[in-house]
Amino acid sequence: MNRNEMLRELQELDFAIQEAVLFLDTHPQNEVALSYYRYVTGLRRKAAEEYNRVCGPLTNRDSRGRRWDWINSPWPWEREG
Amino acid sequence: MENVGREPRIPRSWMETDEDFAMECGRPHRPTPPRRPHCAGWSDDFRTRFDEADFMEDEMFVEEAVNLSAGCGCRPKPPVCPPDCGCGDHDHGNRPGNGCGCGNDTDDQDDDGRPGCGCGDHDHGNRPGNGCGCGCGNDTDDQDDDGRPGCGCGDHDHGNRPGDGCGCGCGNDTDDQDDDGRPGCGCGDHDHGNRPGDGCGCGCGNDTDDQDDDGRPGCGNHHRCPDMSLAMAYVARQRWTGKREIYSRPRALLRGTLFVELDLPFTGKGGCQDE
Amino acid sequence: MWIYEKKLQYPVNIRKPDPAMAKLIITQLGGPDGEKGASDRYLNQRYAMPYPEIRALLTDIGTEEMAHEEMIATMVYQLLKGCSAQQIKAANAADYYVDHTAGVYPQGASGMPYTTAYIQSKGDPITDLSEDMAAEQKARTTYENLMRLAKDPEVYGPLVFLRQREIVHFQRFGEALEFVRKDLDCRNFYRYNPAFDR
Repeated sequence: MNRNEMLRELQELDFAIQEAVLFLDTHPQNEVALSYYRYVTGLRRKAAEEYNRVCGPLTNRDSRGRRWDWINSPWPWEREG
Repeated sequence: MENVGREPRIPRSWMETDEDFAMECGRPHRPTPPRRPHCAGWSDDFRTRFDEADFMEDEMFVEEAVNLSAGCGCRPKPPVCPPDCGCGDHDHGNRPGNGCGCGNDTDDQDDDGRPGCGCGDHDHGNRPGNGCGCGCGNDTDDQDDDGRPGCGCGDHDHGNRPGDGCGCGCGNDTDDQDDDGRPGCGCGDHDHGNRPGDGCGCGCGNDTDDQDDDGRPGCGNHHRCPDMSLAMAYVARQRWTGKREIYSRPRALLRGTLFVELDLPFTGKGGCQDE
Repeated sequence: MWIYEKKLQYPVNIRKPDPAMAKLIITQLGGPDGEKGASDRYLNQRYAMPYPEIRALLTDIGTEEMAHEEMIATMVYQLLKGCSAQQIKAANAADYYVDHTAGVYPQGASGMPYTTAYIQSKGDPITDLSEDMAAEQKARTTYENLMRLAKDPEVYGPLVFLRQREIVHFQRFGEALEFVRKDLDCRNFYRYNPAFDR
């Protein structure tokens, strides 16, 4: 996957998680929602690791390596997504 | 917009081509979905194809995914009304005493053999302690089975059944209606015998010793409540029972919601589009 | 606290500048029914909210609204970027330009700067949730008004997304009322304020 594809994948996963989270906040006992949440958060964990490795840090806690790459472009408003 | 393979999955807009652009009057504002056989009973104002199951590995959803892929891809039916959703047009499953809080009991929802549901003119099946639940004084046919007309507080003995309380306004418990051995019925300083769900019956908030045994301070709703009360806003509660209610992840992001039934697009044009 | 993720919730890629549109879209950042107000409202209401489910909901939606602020700001930034002063003037956006150049300044379409007076945090769950439901509907209508005027698909797409989010949020706030109702006396929900009188 290229950079844009990985970003899109992460956006899709995070959006699914956000929807599941809001649903669970008002339906805390719903087993389907809980199951879906566990599923997508598992996928998200892997996708975020991959993204950090290939595309650079997603948060300022994810910078690895010797350079302070957090400051690097592109910032989100500079490119698509 | 369903992307497979190595195509970049950057969603352009939801439009396929400029021709589908919404701004032209009369054009649909999304690409016309492929024709699918119509599923009987399903809404045909919007059709979407459910993508390959995102979570085939998840056993719980395998069966549903199989059913879906074999299905005709129509938008799912709107959810059926839950049994407690109102009056007049629902069968409450022939459960006696359900009532509905309204007067539109045209199909005898409360199974009392009479139209309308409510107080004052219905026999709630001669079950002790039913009361009428809505304003007192209309107990012309002795709904609350206490041998007296009217239902209310203060001057009725509810049959010496523990926990009956007085149900409407407190303080008139001259004959110990709530069977707690004390005059008056009220909150805060009465023990209703540690019976769950008794509540305190009159103004809450003083449930410091958890009188209503619900594990929380304060008194809660331990009364027979109507489906909807006056002076309160109600929004129907969404249900999620499986995969049929949700989009695939790419489509969900594009549509702005994971949930098919919350996808409520805007097609207004207002004045004419110039240019 | 908040961690920032270096991505937008939904992609924004506007290639064609349009200062006139920027002046309208910015209303969803700093206007009376914009995302900034939404996020301030929900994040401030959550402190006095006695119900855990609703505290979580206000936190989660309030955080999402911050992400929407970022999307709107991005749209404004991209709609202004690359224009010359003359182009901006020709688009009747010179009044914004002189005070803010091509920067992002939260204000409404009428030019009024953002103010906390646009929100309320009343410290009463039924009141606050009612305020929230109204806020989501106001935002929805504003997005629809913008959608009628947006001719560029790259502008239209994010507006469609943001409008849909308002509908979902309205649904959640409506559902949240149930937690309040369950805790109160159905014969009179207004006997007392559960955030204060208990």
